[in-house]
Amino acid sequence: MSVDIQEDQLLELQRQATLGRLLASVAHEFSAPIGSILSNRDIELRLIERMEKAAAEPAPDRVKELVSAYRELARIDQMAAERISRLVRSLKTAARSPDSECHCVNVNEVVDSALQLAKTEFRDRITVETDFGTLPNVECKPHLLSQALLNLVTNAGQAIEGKGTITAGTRLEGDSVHIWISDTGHGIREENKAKVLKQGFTTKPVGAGTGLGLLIVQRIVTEDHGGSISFDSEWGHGTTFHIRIPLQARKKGVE
Amino acid sequence: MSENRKPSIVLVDDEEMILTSIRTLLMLEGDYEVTCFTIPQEAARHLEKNTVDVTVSDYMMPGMTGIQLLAEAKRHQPEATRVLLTGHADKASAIQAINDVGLFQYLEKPWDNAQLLLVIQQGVERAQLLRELRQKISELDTAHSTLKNTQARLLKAFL
Repeated sequence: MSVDIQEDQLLELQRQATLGRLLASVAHEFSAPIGSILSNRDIELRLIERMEKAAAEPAPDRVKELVSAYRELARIDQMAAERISRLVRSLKTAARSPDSECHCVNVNEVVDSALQLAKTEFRDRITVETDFGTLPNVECKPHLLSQALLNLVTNAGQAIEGKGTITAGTRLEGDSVHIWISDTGHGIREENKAKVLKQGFTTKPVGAGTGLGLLIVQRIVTEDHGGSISFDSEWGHGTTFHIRIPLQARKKGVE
Repeated sequence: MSENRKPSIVLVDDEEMILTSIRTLLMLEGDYEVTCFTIPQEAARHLEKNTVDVTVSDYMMPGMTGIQLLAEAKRHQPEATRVLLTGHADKASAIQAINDVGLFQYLEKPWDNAQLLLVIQQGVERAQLLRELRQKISELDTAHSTLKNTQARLLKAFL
């Protein structure tokens, strides 16, 4: 039996699948800062009680010790809350509801949010570096661009066995924006290069990849944004994907 | 307490913020010697050379899991208490930990301070009782062999 699925439905399904898969690792990423804040609130109440007691006694050293512990907890709370808010911001960018309209957005933020989310999956295995240029706002479909970038960063992470580095960068090039995602992974074999951007091509085992990821990136970049995609890769040394998107949205269909 | 030292607690988590929270809690509510590590390999080296009563470890850490670290802890100091404090809610890893490293408690993040304090307090008592027990057993062994020697000498004298 075959089911007819329209292309944009497929796109939305893939986007939701990507977000769904990331959810477990993102949820885990919340546990340290939330755990810290919850524990700290409880300790702070205990501290206040001790301070009240210590204030009634002639023990200035104990008060000093309690005050400095309190200050330290406030610093941790701040760090933890900032980390949570960064994650929430990234999730919001990636999970923005599908919208056929173009919006003027800061592309560096979209790239960064994709990196932050994908990073929750790699944890310490992969170092993420950024090289963001100064960009004007770009007229684009942020939820789609975010999906394309998540696909590229996830692919980059999967191409790296063991430890490695992913670098993401942006530059203004005339009237378009150049975004690149580079990895220190295994690279693409010479004989596979021509097939990489074709439908259903994957070297991943069944269950790990559908071969749709890059096809979707290509569709989002070229059809939805009138941009272009290319890559350079050396087997054994890693791959860099380049996408270029015009600053101003071209009319759908690129007449 | 059999020895004249503060109970020694080792905390291991790659998140500095978790260590700070628990260290502050222990400073406030107990009289412990607390040593913290963000790198599990360093904690393993510490456990090799220093007497520890309780080790509380995170599960997911770079280079070494909490279970691997607690297995090292068990190898160096079988009487010391081992606790896993994890945000990685995975029952399989909990069961593995209980079976492989003789885990005393499995706690999940976010944790409850009162419960954590209780676990650490019980863990210290347990470690000290086990050490005392081992001490008594070895005293008993010595007494037993002295008795045997005396018996042998007595037999020799009378026969």
